[in-house]
Amino acid sequence: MSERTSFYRKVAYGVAIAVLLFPLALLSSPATVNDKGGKLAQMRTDLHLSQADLGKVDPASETMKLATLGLRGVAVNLLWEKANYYKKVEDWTNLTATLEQLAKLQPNFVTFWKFQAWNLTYNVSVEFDDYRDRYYYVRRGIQFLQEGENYNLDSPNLLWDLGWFVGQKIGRADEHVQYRKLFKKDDDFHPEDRPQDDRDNWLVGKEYYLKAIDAVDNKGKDLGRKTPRIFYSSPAMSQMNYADAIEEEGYFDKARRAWVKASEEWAKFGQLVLEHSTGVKMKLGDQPRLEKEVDALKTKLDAMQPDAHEQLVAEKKVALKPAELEALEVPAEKRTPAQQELAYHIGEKLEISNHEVAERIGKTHPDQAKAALQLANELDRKQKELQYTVNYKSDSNYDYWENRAKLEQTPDALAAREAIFNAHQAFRQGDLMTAKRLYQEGFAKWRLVFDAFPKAIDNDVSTGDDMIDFVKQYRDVLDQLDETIGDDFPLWDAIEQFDKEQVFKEELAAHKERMGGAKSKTDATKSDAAKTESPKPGATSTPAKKPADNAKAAPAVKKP
Amino acid sequence: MVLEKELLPYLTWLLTGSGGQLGALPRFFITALVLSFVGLLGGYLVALVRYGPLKAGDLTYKVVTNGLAELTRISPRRIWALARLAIKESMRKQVIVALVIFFLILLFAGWFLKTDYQDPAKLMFRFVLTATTYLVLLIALLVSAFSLPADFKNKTIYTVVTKPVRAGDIVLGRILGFTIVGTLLLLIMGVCGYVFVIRSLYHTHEVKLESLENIVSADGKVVGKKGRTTTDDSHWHEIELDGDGNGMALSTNAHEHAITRVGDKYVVSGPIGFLRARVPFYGQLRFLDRKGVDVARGISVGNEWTYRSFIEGGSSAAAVWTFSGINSSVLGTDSEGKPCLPLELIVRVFRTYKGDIEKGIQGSIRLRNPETGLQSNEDIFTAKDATIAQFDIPTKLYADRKPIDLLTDLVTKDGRLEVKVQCLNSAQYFGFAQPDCYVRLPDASPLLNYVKAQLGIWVQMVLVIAIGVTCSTFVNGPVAMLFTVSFITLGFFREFFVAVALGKQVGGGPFESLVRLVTQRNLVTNIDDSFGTRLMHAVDSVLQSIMLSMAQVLPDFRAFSTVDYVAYGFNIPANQLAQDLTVTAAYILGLFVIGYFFLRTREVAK
Repeated sequence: MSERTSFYRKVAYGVAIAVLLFPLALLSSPATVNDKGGKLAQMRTDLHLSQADLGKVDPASETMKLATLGLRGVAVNLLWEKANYYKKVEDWTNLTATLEQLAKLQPNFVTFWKFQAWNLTYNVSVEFDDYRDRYYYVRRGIQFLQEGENYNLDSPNLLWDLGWFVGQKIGRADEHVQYRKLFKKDDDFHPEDRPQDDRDNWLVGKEYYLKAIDAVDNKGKDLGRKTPRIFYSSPAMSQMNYADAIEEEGYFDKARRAWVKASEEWAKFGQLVLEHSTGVKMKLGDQPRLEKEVDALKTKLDAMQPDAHEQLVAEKKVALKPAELEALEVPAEKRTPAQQELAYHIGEKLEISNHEVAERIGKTHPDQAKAALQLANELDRKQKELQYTVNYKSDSNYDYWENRAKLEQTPDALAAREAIFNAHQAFRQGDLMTAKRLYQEGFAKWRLVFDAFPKAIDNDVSTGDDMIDFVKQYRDVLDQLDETIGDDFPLWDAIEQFDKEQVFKEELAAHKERMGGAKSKTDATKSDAAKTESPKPGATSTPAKKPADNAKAAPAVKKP
Repeated sequence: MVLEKELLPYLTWLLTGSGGQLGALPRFFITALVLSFVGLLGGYLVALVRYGPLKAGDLTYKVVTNGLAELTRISPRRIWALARLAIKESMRKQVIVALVIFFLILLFAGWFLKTDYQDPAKLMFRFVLTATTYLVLLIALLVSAFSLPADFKNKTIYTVVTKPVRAGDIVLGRILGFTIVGTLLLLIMGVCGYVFVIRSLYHTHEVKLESLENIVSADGKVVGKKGRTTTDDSHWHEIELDGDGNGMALSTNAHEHAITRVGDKYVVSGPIGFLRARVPFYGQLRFLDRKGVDVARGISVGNEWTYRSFIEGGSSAAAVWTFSGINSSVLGTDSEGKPCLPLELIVRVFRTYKGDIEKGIQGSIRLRNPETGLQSNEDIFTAKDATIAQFDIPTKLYADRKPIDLLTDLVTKDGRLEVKVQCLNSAQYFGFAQPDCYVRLPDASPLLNYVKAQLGIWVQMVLVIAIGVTCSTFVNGPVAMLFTVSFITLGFFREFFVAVALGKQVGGGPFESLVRLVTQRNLVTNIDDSFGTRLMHAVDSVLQSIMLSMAQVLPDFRAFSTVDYVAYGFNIPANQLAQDLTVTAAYILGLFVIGYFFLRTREVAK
């Protein structure tokens, strides 16, 4: 190789470098006050990707990232390994410190914050025996998430998780009674200006949920893969949980106000436009309106040619095979398995779509063809919207919570809960007679509530579980008094409905046997009450149904 | 503290060994013999190729006899002179830069290290000692690996070898010189590190006056006050004061504060209890199962970490520690000044059901004479999970209703005593490992303990220097450095290395791992039997034998680390240091001999 060739090659390299540097300089020129900068700088601004846009600019974090000399990935891997090791050998101090170092290396990796906060709050906390130590790590995880939110300002994911951790972990753990007390007293966690009454985990959780919603609605942040139904229902659900929790703690007046607010917020959630992943937009509270509209459209379509539907069914029946026709003619209960299978598929075959009806109308009345088709399209759209609404409502238990919030704020429900609460206190203090009387008063009130809200006894599993617990406590009281639950106990139907674990199996069977198939007193009470007008939420019970009167009915009998 | 490996008594470790392993000394001799034989054979074979069999034998004989004669004639004076040369050379190479880096690390450590953990001292000590270790090892590596090769390259070695020095003097002189430099650096880093930890942990609080409430006795008299301190350094303490206003800020984040009343004000002291050097006197642990039968281990509760095993509550299951050498000298005094046996116990609680969340699980502790079977009445306690609980067991005890004396009735003539711990709640479990129960002797000095930890780092540094200098006698600087780095890396991961060599590590040997990496198979995926697989395993067997041989001479660097003792507040046993120093001395001896013979092969040093 001659010296000249070598020289030319070096020149070529130099030129190539210069050529490549030129677009690089153009692309990556930084933004200044007067200049938007290169393409990369512009994209960074547009997509809010600069560090200042993402969240806190932390010199420690930047230093650590630089100090790894481009080996951040390796350092992160090593630290994750170390964190796993410390967790395995139960070295919690070093685990926490390692997580904080990791956080400095990958401050904008949202999943990392979520994962490790979960680790501290849910996995590390349960390793301790003392609930105070557990609470320490629950809070540590929450604080870790708060730190993550500082680095990733207005991240809906992290804010929503904060709401979840503060609400659910503190309020739903087995230790929730202790955790809630510790949370209230936790001066280091709460800002100084937070009133004592607002130091409730459900309310603080709700604050975070609202911040998350604000980030999406007003700050243009992306909701990601979170379902809007869950995301937007969370504040109202938190309010319900708050009301439920303070009721359990014996604050009934406050609870009533909380349920009223929950009811309002739930209704507001029902009027929120939610978007399904298929693009269908809906409001959960719109089911009645949609049902009316669908009915109206159906009637309108049918009115164009009233026999169109029957004609189409008849034509489809003609096309059926003899075996299918035979299966169809046999009454449902007498069909063989093969016929049942056939009948099922025939049902699908005989289904008539709106478009088929519209086409039939078009054939019969060509002048109405276009209108019929438009009507069928509109009907399809509305039916789809209704279907999605019903599904979403079912997924979010919308009707249940709507009913529950209305039910819980009624004076009867509050009085029932208060009586049961006081009965439990009296039992714990050893005052059995007072406990028995208060339980009976409480159950009598519950009877009124169930009569006023019959849906509650049909599908209100949560209240049902509460009810079974109350009856168990009542049975404990009666046991100590050497008595059993009497036939005139007003909630036998609730026991039958909700006693999934069959703890009252024997009592229920004995009760039914004693009643000998005759209408039990409970059923009688229920049907009598059903005849009277159900009290509206907020209305007081009628004098005829005074709890004392029911208590006099002495729904307990001496053990034989 | 966690001690996953039992520390053997020095003589047992040195001579007889335990658990099927030979003592350190026999192992050393066997390794030395094998290495000598391999060295001789290698030397002879090289000479054989170059000069034929007879001359090769003659040459080998001469090298060995001359070498052994020279090795015995090393001169301390010459070694010292060469050591001074090494010191000057290191200073010229600006090793002081290491100190600057160390100061920079300490200066900015506060950015990354918070003190709001449950045990911040543990973290601080671990950080400072680890940073010191890495820096000192790095410096040791750089100065030792590049020194001799640079001398060869610059021909400055001629100015040395023209003097009447032997190859052995050069090797030992370098090792000594670099060790002195490293020791000085370590000394400065050690002092600064200690000051850093003390300064970082120091804080005080104020008494939150509005939180103070009177403590009223049963007869209605105010006997003191309780309340809390202000929040400083991300924590606060509950406080208890006596009638005079003096008292304590109770333990939070592993420390307390003393409170004294001066006039109208309360003065809160600095933190107490961060720095400790507990001196534990350990016993041997055995387990009894639910029927009271001896078993090797308790029950596994499904933890991945099998350090502790568990005993079932409400049954005859128990953890029994047998202490030897119990006499009046191990007794302490309780808070009333009476003699007692100061026991400390760490209980790990495992609940199979939550039970009463606000109540702890109860356990019992009783002392037993292993010969007569006489045992004291049980002392019932509520377990504080994973914390050190102190039991001052009085010397005057009861067995049923009969008064007994701890030393005369429960301790055997040869000084044995059993401590039996049980869990009292049915279906709940207590977990223990051997170091979880010990008699606590009077504390040692925390400062001295810190110095001992620095000695652990020093031992590692000397080893690196010895390895570096030895490598630099036969290869050039960068290669020597790589060789030493490999030695250190493998030394730090020795356990893993040995597991791979023995085929105990999932994922197979080195070649199989490579195949799995390339073919993107995970560690446990089955590889079909084929010629290729058999070939892969054959290659691995050869590699694994080589690795196993290497493992015999590989120092276990992690075993030298005594950081955990200081971090957990336990005294570093003299036995541990003695073992470490012995190992280092053995390595220096071996490496010196190897270094000598390699240097002899260099033209210049003959």
